[in-house]
Amino acid sequence: MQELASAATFIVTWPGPLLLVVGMFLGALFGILPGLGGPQVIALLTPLTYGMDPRLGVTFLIGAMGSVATGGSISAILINTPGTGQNAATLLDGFPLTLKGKAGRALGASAMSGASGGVFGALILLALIPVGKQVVLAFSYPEIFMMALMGMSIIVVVSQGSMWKGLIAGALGLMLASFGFDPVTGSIRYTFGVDYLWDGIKIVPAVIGLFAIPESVELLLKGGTVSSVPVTASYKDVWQGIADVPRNWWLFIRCSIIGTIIGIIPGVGGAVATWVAYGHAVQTERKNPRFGEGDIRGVIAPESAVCAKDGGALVPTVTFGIPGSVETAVLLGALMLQGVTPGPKLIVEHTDVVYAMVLALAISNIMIALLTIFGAKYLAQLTRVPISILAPVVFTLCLFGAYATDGEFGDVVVALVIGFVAYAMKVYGFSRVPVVIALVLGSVMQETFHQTLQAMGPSGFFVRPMSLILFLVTIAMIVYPFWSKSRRERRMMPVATDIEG
Amino acid sequence: MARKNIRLVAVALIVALVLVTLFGCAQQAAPTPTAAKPAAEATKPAAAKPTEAKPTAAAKPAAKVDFPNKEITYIVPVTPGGGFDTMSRVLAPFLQKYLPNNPNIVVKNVSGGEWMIGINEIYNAKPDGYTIGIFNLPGNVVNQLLGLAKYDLTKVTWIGSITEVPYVAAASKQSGFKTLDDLKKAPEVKVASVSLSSSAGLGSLIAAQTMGFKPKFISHPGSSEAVLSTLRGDADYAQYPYGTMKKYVVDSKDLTPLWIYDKQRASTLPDVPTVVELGYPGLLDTVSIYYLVGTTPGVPPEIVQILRDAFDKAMADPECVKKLEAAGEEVRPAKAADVEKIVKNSLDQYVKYKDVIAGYIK
Repeated sequence: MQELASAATFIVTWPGPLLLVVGMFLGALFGILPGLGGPQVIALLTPLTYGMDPRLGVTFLIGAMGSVATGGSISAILINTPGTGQNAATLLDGFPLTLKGKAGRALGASAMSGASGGVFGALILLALIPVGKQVVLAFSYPEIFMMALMGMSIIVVVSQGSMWKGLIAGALGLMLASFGFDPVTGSIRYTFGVDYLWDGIKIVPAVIGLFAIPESVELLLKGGTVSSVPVTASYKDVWQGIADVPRNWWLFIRCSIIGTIIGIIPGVGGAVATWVAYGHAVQTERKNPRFGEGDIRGVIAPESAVCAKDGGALVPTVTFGIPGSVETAVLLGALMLQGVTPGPKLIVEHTDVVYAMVLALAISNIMIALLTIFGAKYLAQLTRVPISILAPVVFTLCLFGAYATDGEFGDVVVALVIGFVAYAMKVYGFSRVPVVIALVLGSVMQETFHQTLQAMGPSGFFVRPMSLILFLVTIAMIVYPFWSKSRRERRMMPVATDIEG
Repeated sequence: MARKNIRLVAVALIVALVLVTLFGCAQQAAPTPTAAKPAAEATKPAAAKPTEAKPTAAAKPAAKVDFPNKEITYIVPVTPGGGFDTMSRVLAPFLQKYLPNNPNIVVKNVSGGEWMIGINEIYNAKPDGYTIGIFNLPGNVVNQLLGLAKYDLTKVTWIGSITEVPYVAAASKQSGFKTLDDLKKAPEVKVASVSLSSSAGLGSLIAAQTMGFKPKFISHPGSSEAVLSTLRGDADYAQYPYGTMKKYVVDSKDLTPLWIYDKQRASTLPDVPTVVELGYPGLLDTVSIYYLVGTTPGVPPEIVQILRDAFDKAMADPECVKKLEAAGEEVRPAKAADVEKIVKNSLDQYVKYKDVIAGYIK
């Protein structure tokens, strides 16, 4: 406790606040620009931290890391372009809200869930520090597989309208996921002789192609301005969005937990967290569901998860020196350069650094949320720009973003090709959500499936309690919609016969 | 009035787009470590100075060859966070320091394909010395031996070896293994590995064959995941460089150290026997790991010399050595000339095990 207080005092003394604020701005900037994100901003800022007191260095870097996701949600909501791969789920309900002129509300909800989710993650991190090891070790291949399976089951729910179309879309996603190196045997699949494809289809160009490009095209065909309804981004709207979070507090808690847990699992990233959270929201929120059309819960769910994940990802990073996400992996390198070696000794030898991390994470999330809230009115003005100017700019930003991830032209090609297919899907009424879910979860599922078989044999999935529970919950979630639908139909039948009779 | 506002926003948007594009083109790849000053300017797209962010200018006196005069890309063919990545990130700023013109050295992770994608990028780059990277020996040798690789390690232009690291074999607490005899008696030993074309994987296979225990390989995307699974007990055995293992066998006692692949015992592991003591001195040569830095084949000799000199100076810098050792590895560097011998040696030795390896990679 005393160390926490001293870390807090340290952060608020100059130059702590300056570093936090600058870090936060840069992180948010990288988040907003499509294609750039956490790993890039941390890598960029690392050299600046040479020679700094480790607590300051950490404050700076985590200040940047914490604001990326919220920055990314701004572009997702306003211009239907995910700022980072992990903001893709926010597109589904964030942008429709903008189209209805409610961008302010979406931004408010996103900021509030982000801040709260981030603080939640930071608190969990704090709580778990003494028992971090056991927690990290509790998740093994079967559990991860079951979580991925649970995520995949969303496809079934989302395809309620037309099961075939949903499954086809999901199959397409799985096919895309299998490009490149087979994670188990190392054999190469579907590369068509092109070296670039050895890495498989990357999530950022795919998301840009699946969601951002078809929308830009459609906007261009529509003309006018983004929102057909006059855009209101008054503080009243934003406040409504903020208030939406406590109103849906239980959903928020569940999604933050999902985000934190997925953050704790190394090797599974932010994109997975948002989709599992979004899917969970779709499956469990039964009151007036309008997911995909501007349901505010579709913004709260992914945003809380993605911000909570940062706190979770620091748990294995700090306790084992094993990165919980791509951003923390780069952070690890930075920490080592400062002479702070993550691992079992870190908590004991550098308690103040660890506490500085926790505080920086929480504060950064809160700051960017406040900034978004106060800036929402101005940010929302973006949607009043005539489409003839906005759409081409966004389109170019998207393609640029696809390129900026790794500097590979192949990413742009992938985005365009997938964009073309995605537009066709849109026109013919195929949901694109199953594609991205399958793409994100496909390789994780394959890897953990085989790892379980290799290490534990087929019984491994069902013998372990957590894995078994997750499995049963998934089955229940898949079956429930069908069961309740047939129940409703059965109840309706007598009425029909009455009318006839 | 409202119209004017919108016009303003639209113009701002276009200006931002143009600046961001300029910024992106100037960087060429996603922004990665840059020298302190240029970084501060380069990050704000509003600063329309991206081209000056690269230290081109200063007309360098006396250098016969003007190298380097733009940023150098240092490729790490694996995901961030592991030994190779960390060593590279420690080395990069020192290379920057000792190279003429102090160019930006951008560390770029190009993972996938069991090192092949990253290596291909180094191997097929323009032979102008602006693309360098790190190699993993003897691991990278496997795909070449099996004919899967598009590269030939003997043709790579070697710059130097950062260090040679002894391996430590460890068992999970859950397995109950404490000595080699325990492993020999077991019906099967689950080995956590990355892939057989990494030094760790290859070393495990050869060790198992030579020492006489039956391995069952469980593949993981990275060394971090492999070690984690051993910590959990999902795997029984893992074999990794000392620096990686130190955390778990010295700092915390989460894994049981079995033996060390070195000529003498480690001072921090006084009770852990060496492979020599166990009767397998031959394994010293086959199970080892070299962190080699190299560049594209065909780079002009003057440029290669500049790179080699900078490397040797960096490795002689006590601060660099200190930072590398803090990252966990004792530093035993080697010069380019020695590296060429090491590479050839590896290829010769591993040819013997070619069929065994092929048998494991269906």
